Amino acid sequence: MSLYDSTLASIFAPSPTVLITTVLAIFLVPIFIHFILFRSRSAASLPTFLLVGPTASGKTSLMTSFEPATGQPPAETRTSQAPLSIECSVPASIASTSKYRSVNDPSLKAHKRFLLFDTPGHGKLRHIALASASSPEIRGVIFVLDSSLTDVREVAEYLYDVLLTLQNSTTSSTTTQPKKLLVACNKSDAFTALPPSKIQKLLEDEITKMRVSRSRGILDVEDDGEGNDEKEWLGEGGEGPFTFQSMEEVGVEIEFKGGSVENGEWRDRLSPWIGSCL
Amino acid sequence: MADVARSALDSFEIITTSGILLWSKKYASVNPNIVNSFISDVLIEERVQPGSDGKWYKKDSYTLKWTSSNDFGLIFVAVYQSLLQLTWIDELLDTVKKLFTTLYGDQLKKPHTSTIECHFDGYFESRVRELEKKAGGPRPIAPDADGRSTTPTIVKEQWDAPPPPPPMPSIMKCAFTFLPTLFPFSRFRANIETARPKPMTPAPAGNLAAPVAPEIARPVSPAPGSGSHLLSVNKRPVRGSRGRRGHTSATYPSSGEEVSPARNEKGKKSGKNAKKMRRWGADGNAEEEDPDTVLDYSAPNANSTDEEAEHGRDSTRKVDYIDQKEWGSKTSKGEFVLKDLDMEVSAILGEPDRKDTDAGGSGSGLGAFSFFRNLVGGKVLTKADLEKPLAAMLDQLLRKNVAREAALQVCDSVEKSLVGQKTGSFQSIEVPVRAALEAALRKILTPTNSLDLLREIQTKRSGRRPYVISIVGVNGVGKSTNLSKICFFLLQNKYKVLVAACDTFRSGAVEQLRVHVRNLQELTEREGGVVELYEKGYGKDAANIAKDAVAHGEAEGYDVVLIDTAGRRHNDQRLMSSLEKFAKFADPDKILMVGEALVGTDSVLQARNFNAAFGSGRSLDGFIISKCDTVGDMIGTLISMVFATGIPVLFLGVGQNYQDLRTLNISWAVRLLMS
Repeated sequence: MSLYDSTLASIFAPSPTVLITTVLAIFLVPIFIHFILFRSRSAASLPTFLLVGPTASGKTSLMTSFEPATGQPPAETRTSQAPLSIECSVPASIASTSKYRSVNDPSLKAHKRFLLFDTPGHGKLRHIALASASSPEIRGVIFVLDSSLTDVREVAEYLYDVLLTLQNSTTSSTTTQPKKLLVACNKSDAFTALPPSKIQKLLEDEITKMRVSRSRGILDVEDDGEGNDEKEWLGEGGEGPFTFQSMEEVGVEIEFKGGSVENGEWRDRLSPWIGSCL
Repeated sequence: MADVARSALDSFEIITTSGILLWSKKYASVNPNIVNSFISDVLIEERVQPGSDGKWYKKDSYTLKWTSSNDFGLIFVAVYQSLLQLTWIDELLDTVKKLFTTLYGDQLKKPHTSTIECHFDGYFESRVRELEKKAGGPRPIAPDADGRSTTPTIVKEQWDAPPPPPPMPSIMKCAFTFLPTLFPFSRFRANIETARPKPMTPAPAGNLAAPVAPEIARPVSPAPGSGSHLLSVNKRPVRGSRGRRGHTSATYPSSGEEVSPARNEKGKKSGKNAKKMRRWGADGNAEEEDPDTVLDYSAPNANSTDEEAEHGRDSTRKVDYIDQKEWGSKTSKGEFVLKDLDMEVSAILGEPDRKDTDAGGSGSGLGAFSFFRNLVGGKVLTKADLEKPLAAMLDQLLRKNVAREAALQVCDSVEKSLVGQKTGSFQSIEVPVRAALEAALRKILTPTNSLDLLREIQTKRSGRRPYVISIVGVNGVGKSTNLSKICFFLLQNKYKVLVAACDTFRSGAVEQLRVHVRNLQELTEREGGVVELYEKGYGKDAANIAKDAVAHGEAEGYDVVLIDTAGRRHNDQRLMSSLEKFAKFADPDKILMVGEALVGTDSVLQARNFNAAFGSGRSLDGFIISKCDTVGDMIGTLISMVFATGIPVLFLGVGQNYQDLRTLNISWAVRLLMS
């Protein structure tokens, strides 16, 4: 008998070695593959809140102020280059679904967990934020700005892009769930800080002008100039001045809040809003 | 030590790429804006300061040096006064990076958290002190720094020490406990035999070490570079211990005995707990008779020679000095803690080297597994892995007409961002390389601020002065054509435009503009656009005409003045120098440069020279890339020009008609370049 035949024969013979090897292979290979594939995968995804805003407005600081207290003072921050998400929680009692629960429901004692997703605000890296703004896991967007508002144009520009992304994602999706945006006017403790209502007014004026100039601007290379007008016009059609109120008609709810990371106010001020989004 | 709090450094920061300051040491207060502007200028916008070669960054009176760790997403930044010449900063950065990632690597990998618990101060300070001393430092060094190295004292010291832990040196031990497990002993031995002749020479310890040390101990002494390639097997561990021998020089005598447990520990690959080490020392008492002890003598000896060479001091005087110092430090509890730290530090610094050898050894044995690894993914990328896909990417970019210089630098930055990262499951190396290249291109093309020209004209136009746009470029790229396209766009937006013909050189240039203006007048008459030509004929000074045109525009109430200039070769110094005067006289709000999409390698130089031509206070504000319709998907010029200067592309010319002007769509460009 040739070597080939004998090998074949030994493989097909019901010998205990072959049997054991086969059984082992059958059981171990899937486990092995499972470990390689799923080791790094995290479990279920949590509801996520996006932190956006121009650079040096305090996004990363706001995020770290939400981090569970460790006894240390919150870390200092520098200009971000990469996004980061951290896990935080709010008391379950303020979540929007909790109003239907009994007061004695033990689940009210628990904490609602969520992710805060911080994005870099530098002009070259904003596409990270804009790309993730339209994803379905995003329950709400927090737009952080410096209350001193030294450069209204830049802030309005970024806010415009964020709003437009949100508007396009609601109009293209089938759900009627509105997108929520909170404009967090940070650094309200500064001497030059403006009140949120004033900031809202300034931003509305600026966006009104911007909306006009953008609609008259030069088309981009890919654009054939047909049928895209709706996608690029912020808010409901019609010239007139832009108001944040009018964004509700296209499915984006906007709220303004002032506060300061320095004074540690954001945790208390944002929790109700976050709860209402959960 | 007295001068712990003082250092030549002003501050040292460890920052995550996501912007969180994990750890910092401040010797003097440094405005955080310095680090912030460093991050946005160098790391995000990738602007290289002239002359720095990307190695340092200067801002105000500070110089910053940095290193980054891709796998953990960390940046290590050292800030010091520009006046100081610190040679040891690079070494500090490297060692701190190694230390920090080893100590806190596990914590850094945790998802969804921003803080880590770290007590890094001690480690850092001991490193800084050692390096400052080694370099001789700009600060006055405490006299004890160099003084303790003569052999007699240390010998005496060893016997006097109250709890004498074993002086067991180590390298030997290291070689025995560690290497033989990986390599057949015979081979190891053979290497040593062959390598022996060399080590003899560089060893400063020669006379002392030779009589007692066994044969095998000798290969330990060669300087890292001097070993033959045959030694490669045991070279690395040796280098580690040698390095640390240098580092511990400062603290050597009082801890003459303690040093050895560290090595001991290293050899056994045990935990890093400092306290444990000391207990072990007591254990290892028996090993004190080990003949290798001799090596220990060689160590201090080596130091003394080094240091004597450096400082040229008298060694006898040192002896007295050290003695006192040693006694002092021995009684001090704090001193002992520091010693332990030093040991731990050097243990860690030695470790990765050994790991490398480890990997080398096991890699060959388990070839099948590493192949499987490659296939399945989850592989840490190294420079060698990236070579091939990056070469392919470079080709791709060159095919798309990206200038070679720009393409090489893009690939370089892609490589830097990838080395040390892990590939995902079932992912080949090409996937992350492609993604990184795409991100890099996108980052280059994305402007840092708004390019909305209309909005800018609205806001900038305060008072009566018109908004002035001037257009420059090489001959024949389409300056006048693009100027009239912009003019048409402005006219449609109901602006009153004055076109100034400042090309007083080429015959027919003014007539050409006159034709354009007449056409535009006819086209926009009905919509109420107003456009006029301002001309002063040929041969006059362009800068003066431009100035007059702006004054005329102001008097007549024009909204925008568009200035056409003569085409000039970018490497003709005589022609280029007149641009500075032009910029001063006309003071344009925007200077746009027209570049052809057809141009290849020259694009980088064109952009750079034009950008530099307007004097120190002024630069270009944007590019218009003309003739984009003629190149199909070979739009590499876009990348080359923007990369060379960091100035955004404002418009693309895509045809022969007045309305054939477009803004850049970044995803479109990236898609074409990657296709």
